[in-house]
Amino acid sequence: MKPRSIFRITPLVLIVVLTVAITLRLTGAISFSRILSGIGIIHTERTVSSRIILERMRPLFRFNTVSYVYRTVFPYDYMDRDISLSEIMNVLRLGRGPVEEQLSRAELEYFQAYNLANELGLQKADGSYDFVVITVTVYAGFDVTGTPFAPGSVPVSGTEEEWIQSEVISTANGGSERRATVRLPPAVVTEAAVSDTGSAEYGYPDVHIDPDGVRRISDFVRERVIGRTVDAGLLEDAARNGERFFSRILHQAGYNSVHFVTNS
Amino acid sequence: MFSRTALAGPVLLLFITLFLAACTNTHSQRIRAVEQEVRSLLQLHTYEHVYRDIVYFGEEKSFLFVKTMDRRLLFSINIVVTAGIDLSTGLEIRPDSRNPDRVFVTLPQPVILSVDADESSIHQYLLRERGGEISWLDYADQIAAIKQRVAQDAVSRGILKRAGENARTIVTGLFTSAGFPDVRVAVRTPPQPSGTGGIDGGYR
Repeated sequence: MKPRSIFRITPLVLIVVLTVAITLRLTGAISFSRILSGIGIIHTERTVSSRIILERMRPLFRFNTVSYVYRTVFPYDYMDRDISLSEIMNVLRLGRGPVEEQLSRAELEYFQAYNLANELGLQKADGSYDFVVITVTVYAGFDVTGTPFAPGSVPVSGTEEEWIQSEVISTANGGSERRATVRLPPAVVTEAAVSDTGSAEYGYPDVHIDPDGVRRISDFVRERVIGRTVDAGLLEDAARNGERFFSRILHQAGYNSVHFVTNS
Repeated sequence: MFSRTALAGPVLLLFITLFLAACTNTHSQRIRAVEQEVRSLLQLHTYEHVYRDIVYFGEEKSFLFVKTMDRRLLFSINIVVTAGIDLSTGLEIRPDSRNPDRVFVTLPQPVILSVDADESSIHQYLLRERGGEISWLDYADQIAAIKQRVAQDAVSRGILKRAGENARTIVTGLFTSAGFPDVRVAVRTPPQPSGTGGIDGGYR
Protein backbone atom coordinates (compact mmCIF):
# COMPACT_ATOMS: atom_id res chain seq x y z
CA MET A 1 0.00 0.00 0.00
CA LYS A 2 2.69 2.39 1.04
CA PRO A 3 4.96 2.11 -2.03
CA ARG A 4 1.95 2.37 -4.30
CA SER A 5 0.84 5.67 -2.76
CA ILE A 6 4.32 7.07 -3.29
CA PHE A 7 4.10 6.13 -6.96
CA ARG A 8 0.76 7.88 -7.19
CA ILE A 9 1.96 11.06 -5.54
CA THR A 10 5.37 11.47 -7.19
CA PRO A 11 4.17 12.26 -10.72
CA LEU A 12 1.66 14.71 -9.33
CA VAL A 13 4.36 16.46 -7.34
CA LEU A 14 6.65 16.51 -10.34
CA ILE A 15 4.01 17.98 -12.60
CA VAL A 16 3.03 20.62 -10.05
CA VAL A 17 6.68 21.58 -9.49
CA LEU A 18 7.24 21.70 -13.24
CA THR A 19 4.12 23.82 -13.75
CA VAL A 20 5.13 26.28 -11.05
CA ALA A 21 8.68 26.49 -12.42
CA ILE A 22 7.52 27.11 -15.98
CA THR A 23 5.01 29.69 -14.80
CA LEU A 24 7.63 31.54 -12.78
CA ARG A 25 10.04 31.40 -15.70
CA LEU A 26 7.53 32.65 -18.25
CA THR A 27 6.28 35.44 -16.04
CA GLY A 28 9.86 36.51 -15.41
CA ALA A 29 9.71 35.91 -11.66
CA ILE A 30 12.85 33.78 -11.71
CA SER A 31 15.77 33.49 -14.08
CA PHE A 32 17.26 30.05 -14.52
CA SER A 33 20.25 31.50 -16.27
CA ARG A 34 20.94 33.60 -13.18
CA ILE A 35 20.67 30.54 -10.96
CA LEU A 36 22.91 28.50 -13.25
CA SER A 37 25.29 31.42 -13.49
CA GLY A 38 25.34 31.68 -9.71
CA ILE A 39 26.47 28.09 -9.29
CA GLY A 40 29.05 28.43 -12.06
CA ILE A 41 27.43 26.29 -14.77
CA ILE A 42 26.80 29.25 -17.05
CA HIS A 43 29.42 31.96 -17.35
CA THR A 44 28.73 35.33 -18.98
CA GLU A 45 31.28 38.05 -19.53
CA ARG A 46 30.35 41.39 -21.02
CA THR A 47 32.88 44.09 -21.88
CA VAL A 48 32.00 47.56 -23.06
CA SER A 49 34.63 50.22 -23.49
CA SER A 50 34.60 53.54 -25.22
CA ARG A 51 37.27 56.13 -25.71
CA ILE A 52 36.51 59.61 -26.96
CA ILE A 53 39.08 61.78 -28.67
CA LEU A 54 38.51 65.42 -29.52
CA GLU A 55 39.23 65.66 -33.23
CA ARG A 56 38.51 69.29 -34.02
CA MET A 57 36.88 72.47 -32.81
CA ARG A 58 35.58 75.25 -35.03
CA PRO A 59 33.29 78.27 -34.95
CA LEU A 60 29.92 77.91 -36.63
CA PHE A 61 27.76 80.54 -38.28
CA ARG A 62 24.46 78.76 -38.61
CA PHE A 63 21.05 80.17 -37.81
CA ASN A 64 18.37 77.47 -37.64
CA THR A 65 14.82 78.76 -37.86
CA VAL A 66 12.85 75.55 -38.29
CA SER A 67 13.13 71.82 -37.74
CA TYR A 68 11.10 68.93 -39.12
CA VAL A 69 11.09 65.82 -36.98
CA TYR A 70 10.35 62.95 -39.33
CA ARG A 71 9.80 59.37 -38.23
CA THR A 72 10.22 56.77 -40.90
CA VAL A 73 10.14 52.98 -41.24
CA PHE A 74 12.87 51.35 -43.30
CA PRO A 75 12.35 49.70 -45.75
CA TYR A 76 8.53 49.89 -45.91
CA ASP A 77 8.30 53.68 -46.33
CA TYR A 78 10.41 53.41 -49.45
CA MET A 79 8.57 50.52 -51.08
CA ASP A 80 5.36 51.90 -52.52
CA ARG A 81 2.63 49.24 -52.48
CA ASP A 82 1.45 50.28 -55.94
CA ILE A 83 4.82 49.45 -57.44
CA SER A 84 5.65 45.93 -58.51
CA LEU A 85 9.18 44.62 -58.23
CA SER A 86 8.64 42.29 -61.18
CA GLU A 87 7.67 45.27 -63.36
CA ILE A 88 10.83 47.09 -62.29
CA MET A 89 12.88 44.03 -63.18
CA ASN A 90 11.17 43.82 -66.58
CA VAL A 91 11.93 47.45 -67.30
CA LEU A 92 15.56 46.96 -66.36
CA ARG A 93 15.85 43.74 -68.34
CA LEU A 94 14.50 45.29 -71.52
CA GLY A 95 15.91 48.78 -71.16
CA ARG A 96 19.33 50.24 -71.76
CA GLY A 97 21.30 52.93 -69.99
CA PRO A 98 21.63 53.89 -66.34
CA VAL A 99 18.99 52.66 -63.89
CA GLU A 100 18.24 56.28 -62.90
CA GLU A 101 17.04 57.03 -66.42
CA GLN A 102 14.85 53.97 -66.80
CA LEU A 103 12.89 54.18 -63.57
CA SER A 104 10.65 56.84 -62.07
CA ARG A 105 11.68 58.43 -58.78
CA ALA A 106 9.36 56.17 -56.75
CA GLU A 107 10.46 53.06 -58.66
CA LEU A 108 14.11 53.93 -58.16
CA GLU A 109 13.52 54.45 -54.43
CA TYR A 110 11.74 51.08 -54.26
CA PHE A 111 14.55 49.35 -56.13
CA GLN A 112 17.27 50.90 -53.97
CA ALA A 113 15.43 50.13 -50.72
CA TYR A 114 14.82 46.56 -51.88
CA ASN A 115 18.50 46.08 -52.74
CA LEU A 116 19.73 47.55 -49.47
CA ALA A 117 17.28 45.54 -47.36
CA ASN A 118 18.37 42.36 -49.11
CA GLU A 119 22.06 43.09 -48.84
CA LEU A 120 21.59 43.60 -45.10
CA GLY A 121 19.59 40.38 -44.78
CA LEU A 122 16.35 42.01 -43.68
CA GLN A 123 14.06 40.07 -46.00
CA LYS A 124 12.38 37.10 -44.34
CA ALA A 125 11.30 33.81 -45.89
CA ASP A 126 7.66 34.90 -46.13
CA GLY A 127 8.61 37.97 -48.20
CA SER A 128 8.16 40.45 -45.35
CA TYR A 129 11.03 42.49 -43.96
CA ASP A 130 12.60 43.11 -40.60
CA PHE A 131 12.26 46.84 -40.15
CA VAL A 132 13.79 49.72 -38.26
CA VAL A 133 12.00 52.86 -37.16
CA ILE A 134 14.24 55.88 -37.53
CA THR A 135 13.68 59.47 -36.45
CA VAL A 136 15.45 62.09 -38.53
CA THR A 137 15.46 65.75 -37.58
CA VAL A 138 16.06 68.09 -40.50
CA TYR A 139 17.05 71.66 -39.68
CA ALA A 140 16.81 74.61 -42.03
CA GLY A 141 17.67 78.26 -41.80
CA PHE A 142 20.53 80.45 -42.89
CA ASP A 143 24.24 79.85 -43.15
CA VAL A 144 25.76 83.23 -42.30
CA THR A 145 29.32 82.14 -43.08
CA GLY A 146 31.06 84.85 -45.03
CA THR A 147 28.39 87.46 -44.43
CA PRO A 148 29.06 90.79 -42.73
CA PHE A 149 27.57 89.17 -39.60
CA ALA A 150 30.42 86.73 -39.39
CA PRO A 151 33.62 88.70 -39.78
CA GLY A 152 36.65 86.53 -40.30
CA SER A 153 34.70 83.60 -41.70
CA VAL A 154 35.43 82.42 -45.20
CA PRO A 155 32.81 83.80 -47.61
CA VAL A 156 30.59 81.34 -49.39
CA SER A 157 29.81 82.41 -52.93
CA GLY A 158 26.91 84.83 -53.00
CA THR A 159 26.93 85.68 -49.29
CA GLU A 160 29.18 88.74 -49.54
CA GLU A 161 26.26 90.93 -50.55
CA GLU A 162 24.90 93.36 -48.06
CA TRP A 163 21.97 91.83 -46.22
CA ILE A 164 20.56 94.93 -44.61
CA GLN A 165 20.42 98.42 -46.07
CA SER A 166 19.25 101.18 -43.80
CA GLU A 167 18.07 104.66 -44.69
CA VAL A 168 16.39 107.58 -43.04
CA ILE A 169 13.45 108.88 -45.04
CA SER A 170 11.41 112.03 -44.60
CA THR A 171 7.77 111.63 -43.76
CA ALA A 172 4.84 113.75 -44.99
CA ASN A 173 4.46 115.48 -41.64
CA GLY A 174 8.01 116.80 -41.78
CA GLY A 175 9.52 114.17 -39.54
CA SER A 176 11.80 111.26 -40.40
CA GLU A 177 11.76 107.51 -39.96
CA ARG A 178 14.31 104.74 -40.13
CA ARG A 179 13.68 102.17 -42.78
CA ALA A 180 15.51 98.86 -43.35
CA THR A 181 15.55 96.84 -46.51
CA VAL A 182 16.58 93.27 -45.81
CA ARG A 183 17.79 90.90 -48.47
CA LEU A 184 17.97 87.47 -46.88
CA PRO A 185 19.85 84.72 -48.69
CA PRO A 186 17.83 81.64 -49.64
CA ALA A 187 17.04 79.37 -46.71
CA VAL A 188 18.98 76.10 -46.84
CA VAL A 189 18.99 72.75 -45.10
CA THR A 190 21.64 73.29 -42.46
CA GLU A 191 21.69 69.87 -40.85
CA ALA A 192 19.98 66.47 -40.79
CA ALA A 193 20.50 64.28 -37.76
CA VAL A 194 19.41 60.72 -37.15
CA SER A 195 18.24 60.28 -33.56
CA ASP A 196 19.97 57.51 -31.64
CA THR A 197 17.17 55.89 -29.70
CA GLY A 198 18.32 53.42 -27.05
CA SER A 199 16.53 50.18 -26.22
CA ALA A 200 14.68 51.83 -23.32
CA GLU A 201 12.74 54.10 -25.67
CA TYR A 202 12.78 52.26 -29.00
CA GLY A 203 9.76 50.02 -28.42
CA TYR A 204 9.94 47.97 -31.64
CA PRO A 205 11.44 44.55 -32.33
CA ASP A 206 15.22 44.52 -32.49
CA VAL A 207 16.92 43.73 -35.79
CA HIS A 208 20.22 42.10 -36.64
CA ILE A 209 22.27 44.91 -38.20
CA ASP A 210 25.93 45.66 -37.67
CA PRO A 211 27.26 49.25 -37.46
CA ASP A 212 28.18 49.20 -41.13
CA GLY A 213 24.53 48.43 -41.90
CA VAL A 214 23.46 51.21 -39.55
CA ARG A 215 25.60 53.61 -41.56
CA ARG A 216 24.14 52.48 -44.87
CA ILE A 217 20.53 52.67 -43.68
CA SER A 218 21.11 56.07 -42.03
CA ASP A 219 22.67 57.50 -45.18
CA PHE A 220 19.83 56.13 -47.31
CA VAL A 221 17.09 57.44 -45.04
CA ARG A 222 18.70 60.82 -44.33
CA GLU A 223 19.03 61.70 -48.01
CA ARG A 224 15.40 60.80 -48.78
CA VAL A 225 13.94 62.43 -45.69
CA ILE A 226 15.68 65.69 -46.61
CA GLY A 227 14.00 65.51 -50.02
CA ARG A 228 10.60 64.79 -48.50
CA THR A 229 10.79 67.61 -45.94
CA VAL A 230 11.91 70.07 -48.62
CA ASP A 231 8.95 68.95 -50.75
CA ALA A 232 6.72 69.51 -47.72
CA GLY A 233 7.77 73.17 -47.48
CA LEU A 234 10.70 73.10 -45.05
CA LEU A 235 12.62 75.90 -46.77
CA GLU A 236 9.57 78.15 -47.13
CA ASP A 237 8.89 77.77 -43.39
CA ALA A 238 12.54 78.53 -42.63
CA ALA A 239 12.49 81.70 -44.76
CA ARG A 240 9.20 82.87 -43.21
CA ASN A 241 10.48 82.35 -39.66
CA GLY A 242 13.71 84.15 -40.56
CA GLU A 243 11.82 87.16 -41.92
CA ARG A 244 9.66 87.26 -38.80
CA PHE A 245 12.74 87.24 -36.57
CA PHE A 246 14.66 89.92 -38.47
CA SER A 247 11.55 92.09 -38.62
CA ARG A 248 11.06 91.80 -34.85
CA ILE A 249 14.62 92.58 -33.85
CA LEU A 250 14.97 95.50 -36.25
CA HIS A 251 11.73 97.02 -34.98
CA GLN A 252 12.99 96.57 -31.42
CA ALA A 253 16.23 98.27 -32.42
CA GLY A 254 14.31 101.35 -33.48
CA TYR A 255 13.42 100.87 -37.13
CA ASN A 256 9.99 102.18 -38.09
CA SER A 257 9.61 99.94 -41.10
CA VAL A 258 11.31 96.78 -42.36
CA HIS A 259 10.98 95.53 -45.93
CA PHE A 260 12.16 92.27 -47.35
CA VAL A 261 13.54 91.81 -50.83
CA THR A 262 13.75 88.34 -52.32
CA ASN A 263 16.89 87.33 -54.15
CA SER A 264 15.99 86.46 -57.72
CA MET B 1 1.62 3.08 -12.79
CA PHE B 2 -0.92 5.79 -12.03
CA SER B 3 -4.48 6.32 -13.15
CA ARG B 4 -5.53 8.60 -15.99
CA THR B 5 -7.90 10.51 -13.76
CA ALA B 6 -5.08 11.26 -11.32
CA LEU B 7 -3.09 12.81 -14.18
CA ALA B 8 -5.89 14.65 -15.90
CA GLY B 9 -6.09 17.54 -13.44
CA PRO B 10 -2.37 18.43 -13.32
CA VAL B 11 -1.96 18.01 -17.09
CA LEU B 12 -4.92 20.31 -17.73
CA LEU B 13 -3.46 22.80 -15.25
CA LEU B 14 -0.11 22.62 -17.06
CA PHE B 15 -1.67 23.34 -20.44
CA ILE B 16 -3.80 26.21 -19.10
CA THR B 17 -0.74 27.73 -17.45
CA LEU B 18 1.34 27.42 -20.60
CA PHE B 19 -1.47 28.88 -22.68
CA LEU B 20 -1.93 31.87 -20.37
CA ALA B 21 1.79 32.44 -20.10
CA ALA B 22 2.15 32.32 -23.86
CA CYS B 23 -0.67 34.81 -24.25
CA THR B 24 0.86 37.29 -21.84
CA ASN B 25 4.17 37.11 -23.70
CA THR B 26 2.71 37.55 -27.15
CA HIS B 27 4.62 40.39 -28.69
CA SER B 28 2.18 42.62 -30.41
CA GLN B 29 3.58 45.77 -31.83
CA ARG B 30 1.77 48.19 -33.99
CA ILE B 31 3.93 50.33 -36.17
CA ARG B 32 2.99 53.88 -35.57
CA ALA B 33 2.12 55.88 -38.60
CA VAL B 34 4.90 57.99 -39.96
CA GLU B 35 4.94 61.11 -37.88
CA GLN B 36 6.05 64.51 -38.86
CA GLU B 37 6.38 67.42 -36.55
CA VAL B 38 7.33 70.97 -37.45
CA ARG B 39 9.01 73.13 -34.84
CA SER B 40 9.85 76.79 -35.15
CA LEU B 41 13.32 77.54 -33.87
CA LEU B 42 15.57 80.51 -33.39
CA GLN B 43 18.85 78.77 -32.69
CA LEU B 44 22.15 80.37 -33.47
CA HIS B 45 24.74 77.58 -33.64
CA THR B 46 28.07 79.20 -33.01
CA TYR B 47 30.60 76.55 -31.98
CA GLU B 48 31.23 72.89 -32.70
CA HIS B 49 33.36 70.12 -31.24
CA VAL B 50 33.79 66.91 -33.19
CA TYR B 51 34.77 63.83 -31.20
CA ARG B 52 35.82 60.46 -32.48
CA ASP B 53 34.46 57.69 -30.31
CA ILE B 54 36.07 54.25 -30.49
CA VAL B 55 33.65 51.69 -29.12
CA TYR B 56 34.39 48.10 -28.17
CA PHE B 57 31.60 45.75 -27.25
CA GLY B 58 32.21 42.13 -26.34
CA GLU B 59 30.06 39.43 -24.83
CA GLU B 60 31.03 35.83 -24.11
CA LYS B 61 28.86 33.07 -22.72
CA SER B 62 29.88 29.56 -21.76
CA PHE B 63 28.01 26.53 -20.51
CA LEU B 64 30.01 24.00 -18.51
CA PHE B 65 33.23 25.64 -19.75
CA VAL B 66 32.17 25.29 -23.39
CA LYS B 67 31.88 28.63 -25.18
CA THR B 68 28.34 29.06 -26.50
CA MET B 69 28.47 32.69 -27.61
CA ASP B 70 31.20 35.08 -28.65
CA ARG B 71 30.15 38.50 -29.91
CA ARG B 72 32.73 41.20 -30.49
CA LEU B 73 32.46 44.53 -32.16
CA LEU B 74 34.92 47.36 -32.61
CA PHE B 75 33.90 50.48 -34.46
CA SER B 76 34.45 54.22 -34.49
CA ILE B 77 31.99 57.02 -34.98
CA ASN B 78 32.08 60.80 -34.86
CA ILE B 79 29.98 62.58 -32.26
CA VAL B 80 29.27 66.24 -33.01
CA VAL B 81 28.51 68.65 -30.19
CA THR B 82 27.21 72.08 -31.12
CA ALA B 83 26.67 75.00 -28.79
CA GLY B 84 25.13 78.37 -29.28
CA ILE B 85 22.24 80.47 -28.12
CA ASP B 86 18.51 80.00 -28.28
CA LEU B 87 17.14 83.36 -29.35
CA SER B 88 13.52 82.42 -28.71
CA THR B 89 13.81 83.45 -25.06
CA GLY B 90 15.95 85.96 -23.23
CA LEU B 91 16.99 88.17 -26.16
CA GLU B 92 16.76 91.86 -25.30
CA ILE B 93 17.36 94.74 -27.72
CA ARG B 94 17.36 98.27 -26.36
CA PRO B 95 18.19 101.31 -28.51
CA ASP B 96 19.96 104.12 -26.70
CA SER B 97 17.48 106.99 -26.50
CA ARG B 98 20.32 109.53 -26.21
CA ASN B 99 22.43 108.14 -29.04
CA PRO B 100 20.64 106.85 -32.18
CA ASP B 101 23.87 105.15 -33.34
CA ARG B 102 24.03 102.93 -30.26
CA VAL B 103 22.09 99.78 -29.41
CA PHE B 104 22.33 97.50 -26.38
CA VAL B 105 21.78 93.78 -26.96
CA THR B 106 21.56 91.16 -24.24
CA LEU B 107 21.93 87.56 -25.41
CA PRO B 108 20.66 84.47 -23.64
CA GLN B 109 23.27 82.23 -22.03
CA PRO B 110 25.00 79.79 -24.39
CA VAL B 111 23.84 76.20 -24.17
CA ILE B 112 24.60 72.86 -25.76
CA LEU B 113 22.15 72.78 -28.66
CA SER B 114 22.80 69.29 -29.97
CA VAL B 115 24.85 66.15 -29.44
CA ASP B 116 24.55 63.94 -32.50
CA ALA B 117 26.24 60.81 -33.67
CA ASP B 118 27.26 61.13 -37.30
CA GLU B 119 26.30 57.72 -38.67
CA SER B 120 27.91 58.42 -42.02
CA SER B 121 31.29 58.46 -40.22
CA ILE B 122 30.95 54.90 -38.86
CA HIS B 123 34.00 52.77 -39.49
CA GLN B 124 33.74 49.13 -38.52
CA TYR B 125 37.05 47.51 -37.57
CA LEU B 126 36.00 44.16 -36.16
CA LEU B 127 32.84 42.11 -36.11
CA ARG B 128 32.55 38.60 -34.71
CA GLU B 129 29.19 36.93 -34.27
CA ARG B 130 29.40 33.35 -33.00
CA GLY B 131 26.31 32.09 -31.25
CA GLY B 132 24.79 35.55 -31.16
CA GLU B 133 24.24 38.53 -33.38
CA ILE B 134 24.93 42.23 -33.03
CA SER B 135 21.69 44.15 -33.28
CA TRP B 136 20.41 47.63 -34.03
CA LEU B 137 19.76 48.23 -30.32
CA ASP B 138 23.19 46.94 -29.25
CA TYR B 139 24.62 49.72 -31.39
CA ALA B 140 22.07 52.35 -30.30
CA ASP B 141 22.64 51.66 -26.60
CA GLN B 142 26.39 52.14 -26.96
CA ILE B 143 25.88 55.50 -28.67
CA ALA B 144 23.19 56.71 -26.29
CA ALA B 145 25.45 55.91 -23.34
CA ILE B 146 28.33 58.01 -24.63
CA LYS B 147 26.49 61.21 -25.49
CA GLN B 148 26.26 62.66 -22.00
CA ARG B 149 29.98 62.07 -21.43
CA VAL B 150 30.85 63.79 -24.70
CA ALA B 151 28.69 66.80 -23.85
CA GLN B 152 30.32 67.10 -20.42
CA ASP B 153 33.77 66.96 -21.98
CA ALA B 154 32.84 69.71 -24.45
CA VAL B 155 31.60 71.92 -21.61
CA SER B 156 34.74 71.28 -19.56
CA ARG B 157 36.85 72.32 -22.57
CA GLY B 158 35.04 75.66 -22.77
CA ILE B 159 32.64 75.19 -25.68
CA LEU B 160 30.02 77.42 -24.03
CA LYS B 161 32.46 80.27 -23.52
CA ARG B 162 33.57 80.11 -27.15
CA ALA B 163 29.97 79.81 -28.34
CA GLY B 164 29.08 82.95 -26.37
CA GLU B 165 32.02 84.88 -27.83
CA ASN B 166 31.17 83.86 -31.38
CA ALA B 167 27.50 84.73 -30.84
CA ARG B 168 28.62 88.16 -29.65
CA THR B 169 30.66 88.58 -32.85
CA ILE B 170 27.77 87.56 -35.10
CA VAL B 171 25.23 89.79 -33.37
CA THR B 172 27.62 92.73 -33.42
CA GLY B 173 28.07 92.17 -37.16
CA LEU B 174 24.32 91.97 -37.65
CA PHE B 175 23.54 95.28 -35.95
CA THR B 176 26.57 97.03 -37.44
CA SER B 177 25.31 95.94 -40.83
CA ALA B 178 21.87 97.26 -39.85
CA GLY B 179 23.26 100.75 -39.43
CA PHE B 180 24.36 100.88 -35.79
CA PRO B 181 28.04 101.82 -35.59
CA ASP B 182 28.05 101.39 -31.81
CA VAL B 183 26.77 97.96 -30.74
CA ARG B 184 27.08 96.90 -27.10
CA VAL B 185 26.48 93.19 -26.61
CA ALA B 186 26.31 91.27 -23.35
CA VAL B 187 25.90 87.53 -22.85
CA ARG B 188 23.94 86.19 -19.90
CA THR B 189 25.60 83.73 -17.56
CA PRO B 190 23.96 80.70 -15.93
CA PRO B 191 21.89 81.39 -12.79
CA GLN B 192 23.96 81.35 -9.62
CA PRO B 193 23.03 79.31 -6.52
CA SER B 194 21.89 82.58 -4.97
CA GLY B 195 19.20 82.70 -7.68
CA THR B 196 20.65 85.58 -9.66
CA GLY B 197 21.94 85.35 -13.19
CA GLY B 198 24.68 87.61 -14.42
CA ILE B 199 26.12 89.19 -17.52
CA ASP B 200 29.38 87.76 -18.79
CA GLY B 201 31.89 90.61 -18.98
CA GLY B 202 29.20 93.31 -19.27
CA TYR B 203 28.26 95.20 -22.44
CA ARG B 204 31.11 95.47 -24.90
